This record gives sequence, structure tokens and C-alpha cells, in this order.
Amino acid sequence: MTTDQRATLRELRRTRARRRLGDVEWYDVAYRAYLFALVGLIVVVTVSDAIDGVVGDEVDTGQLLAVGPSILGLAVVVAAALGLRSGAEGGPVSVELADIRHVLLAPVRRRTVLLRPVGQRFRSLAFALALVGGVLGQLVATELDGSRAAWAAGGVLFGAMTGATFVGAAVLSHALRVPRWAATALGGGLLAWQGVAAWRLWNDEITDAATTSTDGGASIAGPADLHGRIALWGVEQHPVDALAIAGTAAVVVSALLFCGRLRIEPLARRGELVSQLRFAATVQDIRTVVLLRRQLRSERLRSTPWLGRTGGRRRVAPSPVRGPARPRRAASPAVTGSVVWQRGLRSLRRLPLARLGRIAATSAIGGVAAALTVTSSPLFGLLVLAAVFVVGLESLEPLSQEVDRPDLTDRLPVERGWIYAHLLLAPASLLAVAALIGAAAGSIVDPAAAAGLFAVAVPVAVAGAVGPVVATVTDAPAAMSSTTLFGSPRHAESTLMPPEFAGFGTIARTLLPVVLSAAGLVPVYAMRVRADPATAVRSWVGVALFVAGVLWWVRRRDAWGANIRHFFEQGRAAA
Amino acid sequence: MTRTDRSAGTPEPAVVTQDLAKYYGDAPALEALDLEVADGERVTLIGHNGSGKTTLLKMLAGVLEPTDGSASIGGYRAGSVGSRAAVSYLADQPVFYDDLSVWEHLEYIARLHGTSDWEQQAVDLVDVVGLTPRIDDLPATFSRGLQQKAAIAMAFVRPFDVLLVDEPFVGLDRTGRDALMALFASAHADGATLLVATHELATVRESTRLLALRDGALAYDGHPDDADLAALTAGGASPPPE
Repeated sequence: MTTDQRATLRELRRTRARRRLGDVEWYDVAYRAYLFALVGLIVVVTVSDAIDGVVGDEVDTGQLLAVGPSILGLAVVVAAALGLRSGAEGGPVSVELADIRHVLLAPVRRRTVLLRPVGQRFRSLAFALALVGGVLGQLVATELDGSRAAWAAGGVLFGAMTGATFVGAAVLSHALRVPRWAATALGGGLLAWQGVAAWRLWNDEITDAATTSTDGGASIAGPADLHGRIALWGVEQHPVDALAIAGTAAVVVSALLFCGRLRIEPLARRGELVSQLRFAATVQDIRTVVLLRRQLRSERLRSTPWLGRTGGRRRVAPSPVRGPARPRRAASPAVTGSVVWQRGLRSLRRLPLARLGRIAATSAIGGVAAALTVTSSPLFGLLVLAAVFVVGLESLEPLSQEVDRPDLTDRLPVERGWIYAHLLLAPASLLAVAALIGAAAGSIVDPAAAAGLFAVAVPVAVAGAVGPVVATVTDAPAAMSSTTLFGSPRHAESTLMPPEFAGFGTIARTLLPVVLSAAGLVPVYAMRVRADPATAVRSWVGVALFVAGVLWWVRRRDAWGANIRHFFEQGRAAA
Repeated sequence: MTRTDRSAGTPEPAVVTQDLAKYYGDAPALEALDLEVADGERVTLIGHNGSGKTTLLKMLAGVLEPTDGSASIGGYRAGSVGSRAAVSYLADQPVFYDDLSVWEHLEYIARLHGTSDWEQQAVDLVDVVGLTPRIDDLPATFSRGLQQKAAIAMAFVRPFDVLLVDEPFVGLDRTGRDALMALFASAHADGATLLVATHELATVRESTRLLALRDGALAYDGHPDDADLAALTAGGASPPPE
């Protein structure tokens, strides 16, 4: 690459940066920073209050140093495994399409061009996780021995290293063209290794065999134990910990050296999708974010369904001479829900293995969290909520397909709501299976809670999916009408509203699905208070009523909207 | 509601528009169009890019709301369930579900429309357009031409009284084109009403009536043999031909 080319590239970037900065509304940026700081402060205070006294009295420093590194090392290994997968799928950086066409396809050294986006990715993720680590370090310092500064420094360094491990593993996996299966196998292997190390130490500790294990008995060292030790700098620092820092630095340097080998095709694909993803994230459109993330991972529905293809057509052969006749209506063309139910099942039979695996894994995490909610801290309920919401979103493929193609749905001679409601039957069966997986996982972790978990698993999963259902259905464009719900014309001037109200509406739209899914937590908390058959029965009845109400809304939503619109239009006309 | 039912009663026109108009902001896409298409007519709709053909078809199909005026299909308001049962719309951009194969699309659509003997119908259609080897594949992964063939099969697998077609020849090979022309002819011979928007002037003579749009207004309505096709399809934003 000549000096002239390098200078041209620099000048191009400088000019674009200047323009971008010129377009920035500084007042808006300051307002966002203020909101971020405010929300962050509230979260820190709430979390601090929630963990107050939870850790303190029960953990002694020796135990912490024996078990902590392996468990904390899991976070680094998870980051490495996710990074390896992300790289194999074309991550972790995205470059603008224009840059790909005009710069990366020009005769310049790609490493020079890609160093900046890769460096930015390292910086942003390492900084974000360092911030989280620092805050957690500060919070833990109030509960345990050791200086605040050392805990905070350890947290910051651990967070930064975790972020750098993710990006470094992803860049290397991408640049070295690691196949997806190999990335999965490698990541899974590392995770299993670290998991076994942590599990054995944990078991040794709780069976009071700590002395044996820490003296080098049956325990094994995990690949990220040294990283985990850094997070515990508040208690003890050791020179050997520097090896973890050196290892991470080596990954970062290798990634920067190899970044010129990132492939154009995935960069182009991601460049196109990432801008949409950012927009969707900006407008807090959870479902679109999930859909685009799937596309970023190149996750496609299976062309061959599980359990084989449907073979109905094999019963008939093409007509020998006349070709297709004009289609006729059947004598009694009653449309039954079975057509739609069958369509939903076919959709689920095309879910890719990765998605099914994600559903199973998330269900298992949710089940374990539910078990811990019942027998330990109620805070684990938040994890249950996250799990049921994600499983719900992942399971609603048939409904999503229909909602995303209103042109097709609106050509069918039945109401949208009827189709949407019937399309929920197949996902409900999948949710039932996911619920049982969750209950089984929770039972393994805490066998005492097994009966209660199995009793309420299905209601929890089904009620938890209500939020995603509402988010998906409200994503459907309004049934054809030139006026808004309140009867005013649909042009921009009339729909403008003060930003305070628009902002409130956006937050309400974003939070409503989560709040509705929180109904799934009710049976879990009920079992925490009183785990008996009567509680389980009440949970089933309550959830059944709740779900029936939501189904009725899905079924009648368009009709109610039309009535309200008609009412307001009449009012306007009369005025 | 079937075609036979309607033709047995009062002869309702297949398509009626009254002052039908569509504006995007201040820009008119279609201006106050009054139109009546009788049952069984085969109409070709031509016009330059942006003349309003697609807008008109979308409003008749019920996927676009008029800014003013109204449209009806066989006496039903465009977009109502009755009109959806009567109209088959072959759009200019095929749309498919990502999670259904060609065969599953055909089954879903045919059964929701209550098609009699839909399996034979589907097999024949797929055979005619040359999609049999790809029948179990996902059309969302097809090339443009194959997608158009799948869309044609989807449009013809269900009963209809009015067929609305927008730029049907885009991406089609010779087989697909011949098959589509044969399907049009067969549907017309069987009494269906066809409204086909196209830039392929060679096919215009097959129709019984020609409509030309220019800058959102009707510029010609008559028999195809009497029309100066070159003038009617010349670029827009200029005075209409004399």
C-alpha cells in the first residue's frame, strides 16, 4: 500500500467523521447520556440493595479463592465459545457496504482498512464489560474482605479481558476460516472442560472436602481459572495471574495481525443487516432485532423438514392431456382450523437445529432458575422471565411468518385474527415440550423442587410466551385503513405528538410484552410460597383464563380497531 | 360466493371504480378513476413507469387503501372477505413464506379458499409451469424466474372470478411464458375476468379491451386494434397523446 493510498484513506475517514460530527445533535446526545446515567444509577442502587447481605456472612475467603476462579472463568470461556461461533458465522465486525465496494475492493491492503473497525470492536466491548466489571467489583467490595480499589481494578480487568476474548476469538475464527461445526465443537469442548472443573470444585466445597481438592486431590484446573483469579484481586493477587493477561494480549495481537483475512462475503452480508439492526434497536423493536440477529448468524429454516416431507401429492399424477382446469370451489367449502394448525406444524418442522438447541438450552436455564427461585433467592425469577420470553419469541415462527407477510394473509378469504389465533396452537405444543425440558433441568439441580416444577412448567412457559405473542401481533401493519385508530387521517402532520408522549408510548410498547410475560412468574412464586397440588391447580386455571383473554384479543383485535375507528370517524364527521 | 352464484343472479360488473384516487403525500399516483369492467372481459393495462398501473391493481386487490373514491369487485368492497374470495392477485413482486415449500404453499392457499380437488389442480399447475422437480423446495430460496412460476401456480390453484396480474412476464423463460399465456386463455375461455398490467406489447392483441394510464389518469380505453401502442407507452410527465 503506497503512502498516497494511505493518505487518501485517512483523508476519506477524516472527512466522513467531520460530517458525522457536524450532523450530531449535541443536545440529543447530552439528553441520552443523562438518561443512561440516571437509569444506570437506579440499576446499581437496586442491585446493590438486592445483594446486600446475600453474600457476606456465608462465604469465607478461603472458599472463595478455591471455587471462585473456576466459576468466574466460565464467563471467559462462554465469551470465547460465543466468539468462535460468531467468527465462524462471519462476525464480529461489520463494515459499511459502501466501504466494501469502494475501499475493500480497491487495490489497497485490507488489513490497513480493517484494523480500525476491528480495533473499535475491541475497544467498545472491552470498555462496556470493564464498566460492568468495575461496578460489580465495587458492589462485592461492600460484602467481602479486601480493598475497594483492588476489587474494582480486578473487576475492570476481568471485564475487559472477557470482552477482548470474545472479539479476539471471533476475529481469529473468521480469519482462519474455522468451519461452524469446528467452532461449535471447540467452544463446546472448552465450556465442558471449564464446567467440569467448576462443578467438581463446587461439589468438593459443599461436601466439605475443600481441603483435599485445593491440595491437589481430585480437582482439575479449567482453561480460564487464571482469568477468574483476576476478578478476585480484591482478596489476593498473585504474579502467576499475569499469565492470563499475557494470554489475552496474545489473542488480541493475533487478531489484529490476521484481521486483513476477514472475508468479503460475510462482511457484505453483515454490512447490509447491521444498519437495519441498529435502526430496529434504536426504536426498541425486540422482534425485528431477534429476526435480524438470526439473519446475521445465517440461520435459515430447513429446506427438508424434520421427520420427512409431506407426501400427499404422490397420490395423484398430472392430467395427461388437458392441463389444469379452472379451479372450482368445493360444494361445502367450510374452512377449518386444521388447515392452519397443519401449516403451523410444518413451520416448526423446519426450525433449524441451532434454534431447537437454543430453545432447549434456554428452557433448561429457565428451569434451573425456577428451581432456584422456589428454593433460594426470588431474584432468580428475573432469569426465569428472560428465559420464558426468549423461548416464546423463538417458538412463534408460524405466527411471525404470517405477520411479516400481510400481503399474503390479506388475500385469504378469512379474517387475519382467526388465522393468527389458530397459528398459536402449534407453538403451544413446542412450548409444552420446552417446559418439560426446563422442569427436568431444574429437577436435576434441585430434586426437592421436582414435583412443583413439573406441576407448573407448562403454565409458566405458555403464560411467558404471551408477551412475544402480543409483540408479534402488534407488529402487524394496521388492517387497511386511511385513518388512525382515533379516526384522524394517516398523514404525518396529524400524527405528530409531543416527544414526551411519543417517548412514553415507545417505552410502554417496549415494556408491555415483558410485563405480560411476567404473568409466567406467578406460578413460580406461588410454588415458592406454598408448594402443594392446590397451588398447581390454581396456576393452571389462572393461566388458562389469562391466555384465553389474550387469544380473544388476537382473534378480535382488527374488528375492535375497526369499530373504534368508525366511532371516531363518525364523531369527526358530526363535528 | 362463487362465480356461478353471481352469474345466476343480476349481472354485477366484475370491477367497478368510482372516483378512485391515490395520493402519496401531495403526489398523485392515480387520479379520480371511473371504470367498469364487465364479467368475462380480458383487459390489458399499459402505461409508462409510474403511470399508476400497480397502484390501481393493488387497490382493486385490497392491499392498498384509496385516498378517495371506492372500488368494488363483483359488488363487494375491495379488500372485504367477499372480494378476497373472488379476486386472485398475481403481484409484480412474488411474496412467499420462508417456512413453506411450493407444495405446502399450494395446499395452504387452496384449502383456505375451499378449492375442490385441489391436489389434482396443484399437480397439474406445477407440471405446466415446469416446477415439478422443485416442488418440495422453499420458494423463498428460488431465483426470480422460478419464484414467478411458483407465484403463478399459487394464483391459479384457487377459485377466482377476477384475476389481477401485474407484470407477469418478468424473469420468465419461454416455458413459463407459454404456460402463463395458456392459463390466461383458459381462464378467459372459462368466463373469468382478467386485468393484466404489462409492458409486453406483443401480448396486448390477445385482449378484448385496452386501458392505458398516463401520469395517473386514464389516457385510452378501447379496443387494442385501434390504439397507438407506442404513443401510449411513451415516457410520462408529458402531455397525453392526441
